[in-house]
Amino acid sequence: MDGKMGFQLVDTTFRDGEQSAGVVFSTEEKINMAIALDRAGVTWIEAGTPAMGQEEQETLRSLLALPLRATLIAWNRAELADIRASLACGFSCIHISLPVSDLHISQKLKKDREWVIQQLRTALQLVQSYGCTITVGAEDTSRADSDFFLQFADVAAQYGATRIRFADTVGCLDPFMTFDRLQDVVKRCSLPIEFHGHNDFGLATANTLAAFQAGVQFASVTLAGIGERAGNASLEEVVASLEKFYGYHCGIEASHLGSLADLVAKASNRPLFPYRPVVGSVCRMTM
Amino acid sequence: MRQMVMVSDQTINEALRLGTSMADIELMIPILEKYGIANIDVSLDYLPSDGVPKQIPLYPLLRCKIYSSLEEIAKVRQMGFSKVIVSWFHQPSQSSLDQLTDALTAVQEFAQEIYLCIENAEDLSIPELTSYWPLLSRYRVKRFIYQDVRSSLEPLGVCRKLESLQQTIPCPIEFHGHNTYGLATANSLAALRSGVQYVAAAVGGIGSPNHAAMEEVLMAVKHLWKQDQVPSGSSLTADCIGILSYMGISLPVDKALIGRDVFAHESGIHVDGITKNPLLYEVIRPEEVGQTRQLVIGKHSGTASLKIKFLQWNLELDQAEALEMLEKVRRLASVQKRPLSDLQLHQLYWQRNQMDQSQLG
Repeated sequence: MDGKMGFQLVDTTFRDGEQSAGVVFSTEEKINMAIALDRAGVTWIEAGTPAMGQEEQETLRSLLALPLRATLIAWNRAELADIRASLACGFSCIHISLPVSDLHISQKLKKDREWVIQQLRTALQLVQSYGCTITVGAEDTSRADSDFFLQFADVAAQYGATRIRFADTVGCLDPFMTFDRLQDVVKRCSLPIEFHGHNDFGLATANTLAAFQAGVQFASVTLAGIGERAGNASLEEVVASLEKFYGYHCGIEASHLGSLADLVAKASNRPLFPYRPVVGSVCRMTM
Repeated sequence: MRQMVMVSDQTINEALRLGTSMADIELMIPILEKYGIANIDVSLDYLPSDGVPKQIPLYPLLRCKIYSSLEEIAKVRQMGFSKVIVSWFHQPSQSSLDQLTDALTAVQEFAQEIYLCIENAEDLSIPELTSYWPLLSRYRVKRFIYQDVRSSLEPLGVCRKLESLQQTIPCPIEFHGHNTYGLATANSLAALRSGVQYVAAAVGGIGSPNHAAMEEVLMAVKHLWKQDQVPSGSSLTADCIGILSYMGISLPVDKALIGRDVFAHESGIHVDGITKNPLLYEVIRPEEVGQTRQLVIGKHSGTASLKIKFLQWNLELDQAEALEMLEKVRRLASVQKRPLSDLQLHQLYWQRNQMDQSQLG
């Protein structure tokens, strides 16, 4: 299977991006970035976590009120209260996340695989009853048993989920491992896969491209790669690379990349490194 | 088992381009040497007109990169370099390699080690590249440098191409990638995977054009591929920051491995996990690269984070106190657009405590 047909990016600057230590976006900044992302052609925006509280919910409602073509997604733990907060905000596209590695299940949740599956079922029943579009995230997939990931995806598919996120939560894959793992699971998975890479060894963009080559249909990215620890795969690098190496236009206009990165740099108070690929001052591409 | 990784340094060359003083460069070289640097590449164009003082420690590591003009060759000879990279840009229309062979002949007269670099090697077909092989033997070229000057390769392609070339080339290959698209570290790893032992890299990935980040290549090999021969990273962060400071370059806070905040955790879920077992959200221990873990209290904190933070000061918060304080923390973080300082947290705590006292009174 070839991922080139219909490969799409999911921007998570407002969720995973803002979760990087020390970063806070104002409502106004989020609105400006959402409009800019939409204009650039981004079709999926993970907008935030309504369970964070009233203030966040107000911001999210402002985003939902914008006349965007992009679909806004609410990120949730598989907790009914969290999901209800998302529904109350007015989200119609709901992301449910649970870990799938034994390390996370046993040491973070202090539960077992059966509990995870049951928790997913309970959460999805609620979301399904509201007729929402569902996406499901499998945290720490890169350190999980592939067969359990596939079982988890099967359950998500039963409840009408439209895709499953394969998260390299701690950035422990290289492109060769990514290609091998994804090529295997893409063939066996009951849902389209979204690859979610982290940049702990500087490999997030390369891993995202390897996942694309392995046939995944979606990938998570953030502006300027902002995100937990060393960040996520950067939207600019992935968009520019897809065009350069595979002649694939994912619908996002390359001419917008520099100004998008400038917006997030200002909002996060993190100036762009001059040597940063695609958008740094020493390396800025003219497209 | 994969081979040892040897780095051809490109950091010093960027320092020269930026006009860093020779005195500072002399201080940078011993720090780099800790990381198994095989060579330090310098472009003739960036060198002071009188060359490099020979008393520089590790002078023997320096390789001077030139193009094929006889004038440049004379200069390098006069400066006393014994290791020379002859750099060549392949033109498809080139019918003759006479200029290159003349250069190699001239360099052979004085250089102890000759390297041939094709800057746009990625543009060449295998037969085109193979046409250079006779020169490698004739001039006893120590290594052929496969440069990807326009960043035209991605990792799977690098591995495939270099594996194929190594079957026929008469000398070892060195890979010199660039980072226009953010793939240089991955491409260097791909080269190593193909059996190549030498790769170009610079601290923080600097250079014009930019390079693979030395710290990423070394630590990926050490931790993702579990290669113990790679030097210890226990002072890596301080060393990289130190080297870059001589050039007036400061790193972004999220620079992989060595950025200030790459072991800082704020979000409630992550802090809760880190407290249970750091491996849940850290791929390596911060000490592996000379960093320390930080707990940041801000907009994305949860009650668990607050309890842990205050417990560090021997102040125990119950769930109700933590929830009440969390709301204030989130509001304040949103207003000031940054996390809370320890002082601010103390103020919130004591304000609340004083209120309790006054209500009691």
